[in-house]
Amino acid sequence: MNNNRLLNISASFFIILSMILMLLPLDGSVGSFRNLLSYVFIPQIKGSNYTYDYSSGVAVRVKQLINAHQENEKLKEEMKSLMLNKSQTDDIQKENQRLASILGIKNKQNLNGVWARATYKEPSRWNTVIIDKGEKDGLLKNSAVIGINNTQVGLVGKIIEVNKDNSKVLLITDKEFSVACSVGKGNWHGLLEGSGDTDLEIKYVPINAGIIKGEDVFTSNLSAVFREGIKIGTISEVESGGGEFKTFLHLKSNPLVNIGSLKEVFVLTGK
Amino acid sequence: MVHLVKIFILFVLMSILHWVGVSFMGIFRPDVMFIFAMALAVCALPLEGYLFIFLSGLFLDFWGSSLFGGYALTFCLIAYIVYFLRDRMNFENIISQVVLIFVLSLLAGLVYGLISYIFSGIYIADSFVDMLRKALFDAIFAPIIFFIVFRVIKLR
Repeated sequence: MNNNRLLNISASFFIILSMILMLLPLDGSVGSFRNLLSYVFIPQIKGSNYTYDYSSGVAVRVKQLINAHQENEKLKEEMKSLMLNKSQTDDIQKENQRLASILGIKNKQNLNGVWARATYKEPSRWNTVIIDKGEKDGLLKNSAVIGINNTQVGLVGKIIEVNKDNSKVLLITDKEFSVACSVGKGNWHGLLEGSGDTDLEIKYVPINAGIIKGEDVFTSNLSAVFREGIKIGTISEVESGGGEFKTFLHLKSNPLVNIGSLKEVFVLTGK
Repeated sequence: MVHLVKIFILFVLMSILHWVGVSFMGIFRPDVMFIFAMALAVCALPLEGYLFIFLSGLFLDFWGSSLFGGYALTFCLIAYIVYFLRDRMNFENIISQVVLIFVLSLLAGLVYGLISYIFSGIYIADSFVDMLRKALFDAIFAPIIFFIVFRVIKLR
């Protein structure tokens, strides 16, 4: 009975309250009541919205993170390839510059011959080098071999052995190498020989030739093997009193071309 | 006091479930607040029950755009019927719950339309097909809501 009474009172109260809310205008007290209700109705909806947005974002962010990681790995691999390519490109560029300068000089001096790469240095004879051209390229024994130093052409050696696909070059620094040369402005003739070391020795230049350091050394027209006018090097040392009767100068020369770092050489065909 | 707090927590949970239904289920959503109100009418004490039945109705009025208080009145009137029936019928089995909510959902649609007509002069109600669909989905989800409410409240 008590329960029924309570039910009737509660039902009546809330039914009447609902009717009042519907009858009264929305602004004023109903509006204030509505604002009060917002503290009860809104927070959980806002929280649910935020949680949903955040969790959706997490999935997207995780996916982006995974994609970024995969892309990162891929880019690292590409970077390695690019660095390798760059290194190769740099080498090609240097070679191109070197060859371009060589071509320019070749045109100026009207040299005929064949380009070859220095591929191998024989350990037993450090003053010889193997090049990648041979008989099939028209190379002959005793052909002159020249190289490049910046923009200048310099004598490197001569062919001493010819095979089908490669040849052996005796370098000017070898003790067995010799060439008739002319020194200085006066074109004083002498004999240039390899010392087995990095420098060259020139003999039989008269003591009164007045040679000084820095003067150029060229191949002479007296040479049976080499054409005249190929620069060999520059005088680095002048000593008097060479020869049996002390009537000659003892000269030393630095080769024009750095023999130790030979990469390409030009083999002259025909004198 | 403890029961009041429990019912309040339930109310918050049901409002979140209602938001989930509205946001993600479209027209195939149950009216969670209505089912919750009816479940309260079955198992809660009159005063506490009616307070949250009233608030459940107001929750729908708050997010709606017309007739502030219409759903609150509808829920209060329908809940009175449930309070009258609960001592005469057993609503603890699923079939009774399904049938109860199906019938009451249809009735609530009609009552809300009548109230809107009386208080605003406009008959605001869904079409018969929409009312039927709404009643069907309310009936399908009713056992779940009833189960949750009974587990939390467990008193008459």
